[in-house]
Amino acid sequence: MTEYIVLGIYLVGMIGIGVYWSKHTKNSEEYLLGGRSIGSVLTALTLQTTSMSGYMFMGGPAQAYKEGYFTLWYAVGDGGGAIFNVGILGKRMRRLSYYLGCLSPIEYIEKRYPGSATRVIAGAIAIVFVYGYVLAQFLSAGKTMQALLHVPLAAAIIIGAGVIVFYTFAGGYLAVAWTDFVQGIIMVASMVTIFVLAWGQVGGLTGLNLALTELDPTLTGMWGKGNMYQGQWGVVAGAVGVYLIGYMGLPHVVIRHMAMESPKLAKQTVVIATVWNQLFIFVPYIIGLMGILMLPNIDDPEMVVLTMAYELLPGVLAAIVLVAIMSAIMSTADAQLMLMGTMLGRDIYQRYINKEADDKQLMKVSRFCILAAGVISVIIALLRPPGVFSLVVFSFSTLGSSFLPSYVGAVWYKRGNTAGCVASMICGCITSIVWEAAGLASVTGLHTFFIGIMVSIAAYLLGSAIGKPPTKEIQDLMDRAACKTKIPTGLATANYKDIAPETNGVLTYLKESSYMEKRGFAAV
Amino acid sequence: MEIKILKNGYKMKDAYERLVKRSKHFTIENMDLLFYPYLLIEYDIDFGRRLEKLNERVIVMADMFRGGYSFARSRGSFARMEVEEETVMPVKMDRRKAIKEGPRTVYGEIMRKKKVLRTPDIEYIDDEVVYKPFYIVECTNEEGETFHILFDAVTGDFSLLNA
Repeated sequence: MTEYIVLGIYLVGMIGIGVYWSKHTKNSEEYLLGGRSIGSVLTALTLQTTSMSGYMFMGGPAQAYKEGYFTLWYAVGDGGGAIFNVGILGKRMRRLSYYLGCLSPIEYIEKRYPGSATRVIAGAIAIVFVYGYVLAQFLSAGKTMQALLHVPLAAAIIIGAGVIVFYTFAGGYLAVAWTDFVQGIIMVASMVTIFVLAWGQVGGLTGLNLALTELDPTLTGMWGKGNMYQGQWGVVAGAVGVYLIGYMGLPHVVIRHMAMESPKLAKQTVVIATVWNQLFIFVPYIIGLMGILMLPNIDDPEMVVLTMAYELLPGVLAAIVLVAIMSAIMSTADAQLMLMGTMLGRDIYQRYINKEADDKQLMKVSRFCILAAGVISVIIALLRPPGVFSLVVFSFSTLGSSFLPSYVGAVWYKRGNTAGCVASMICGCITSIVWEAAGLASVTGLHTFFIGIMVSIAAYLLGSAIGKPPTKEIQDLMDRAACKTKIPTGLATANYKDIAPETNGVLTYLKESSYMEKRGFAAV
Repeated sequence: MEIKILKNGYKMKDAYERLVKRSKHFTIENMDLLFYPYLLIEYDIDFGRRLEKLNERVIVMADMFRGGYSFARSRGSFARMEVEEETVMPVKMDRRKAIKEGPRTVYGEIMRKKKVLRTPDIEYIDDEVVYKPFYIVECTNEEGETFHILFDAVTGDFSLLNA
């Protein structure tokens, strides 16, 4: 009963936040622009909570429970991922996307590597593997509902997915940054609370390590339980790399570089997000390790955090944890479903099925696709539910293998062209799927991400060497993105993205016309 | 020639001060006005009686030099101004095409923002060509290298042009 009361209070609270903010905005423009006044703390928490929810509460701890300390290789990579990502891509990608006037990561790929094949292949890969994430969210939601309502998993998945799809349609606009912010705080607070309480019970890190070693020394080793990955540095490199550099290949992550209001805010956000990562990323894995001692007979390791919440916290707090997980999952899945619906409508339906489709039809098709995606996900989840961890890692590896060379090459490799981009996306994606499907990772000792990224880079370089070089216009934009003239810091960090299209238009006009000469300026 | 412009909130002196506030390590050598063409298109969004609270009038700004559309923050205030022809960028886009394509931006924003099941009717109300003033600013850094800045005289936003 406590769970239902807490769920009710929580939902009313979320709706209250939505209603409050909707009343404090005068018109649609202000509503949309409200996002631009959001500070770096709020932005960082929103970004992190929407990208990590279901996985960090279920997949990560479950893997630690099954494989021991080896799983921390993933956390090590994840902890440094944000810095790596921004260091290599951040500045240049923000500038180039700004100069190209792009709003979405697929549009960015399409404009940097022009060609219909680029958009189709990039769109198809993004749709399929973002779908993998959606499926993982549905599974997480189902498992959370199972714990919350004490019903069989099949019914829980239907209820959980139903709630998410309904929320996407009807309540989506309530999922504003402030609800994400509240969810983020509850997520961190609940996770840290469980961690602290469990920490006391296992006798701290020393107690944990001694007990694990006594149970099975390989659990505290670097090669996984039973030394399953002994000497397999390819697996270790893949495990670290998948989150360390893999973020650079994820369309829904690199969009952050493009979407930041100003580079100055971006820097602060990255610092906060990185600090938040250090606090949050290692904790779920360590809770998974503690679970080995505290819950030795658990049937489903993905329920470690939820079960520990019930064991360690009073009923009301445990229910808050469950509800917070559910809502965090909902806000993530909501955004991914929306993204998928839009891509299916615009990139598939309008391009190939009905070229004359007007916007009203397009919107209906997009919504139908969201519903269809929801129903298909439920069927897959019921027939053959994969683990949240393996699904997320596989989707992550494939997206990273498919897009990373193209995103990095877009700003660093002038010779990088459409042929290289297409070859890299196809080869990276196929390699990743085949490697996973054939179970070659355990046979060869090479992680799916590791081999996928190697093949993808090779294809990118080969395709770029054979194909036609990028146009002079794109090469010029890359030079601008590299910014070789020394610009005072205060000016260099103040490129406002709102006037990006005008900047390109004005530059074209100034080159075509005699304005600069007649008005006494040096040539641009 | 006489054109209708969005009133500039930033006079040349204000723009100068805003830029030099950002850094002391450059010199402004020259600054002049340039007018960028837009078509302001008004649409009424109608969700029907059951969702009439969501009905509203929106303004789409069509970029008449490069194409492309965006939501306007507000209608803004205007002035008529006599300007030299070379400072006015030409209109390259077709007005009727812009009016026809504008609703796509409206649907996109609705999709992102309201996420309601019902697809609204969008009715064209009115349009007019207006020009937005920008400053072209020529600067030199401490090494004597030249670079240019585009300064939005309405909002105060600015962007590097060729660096």
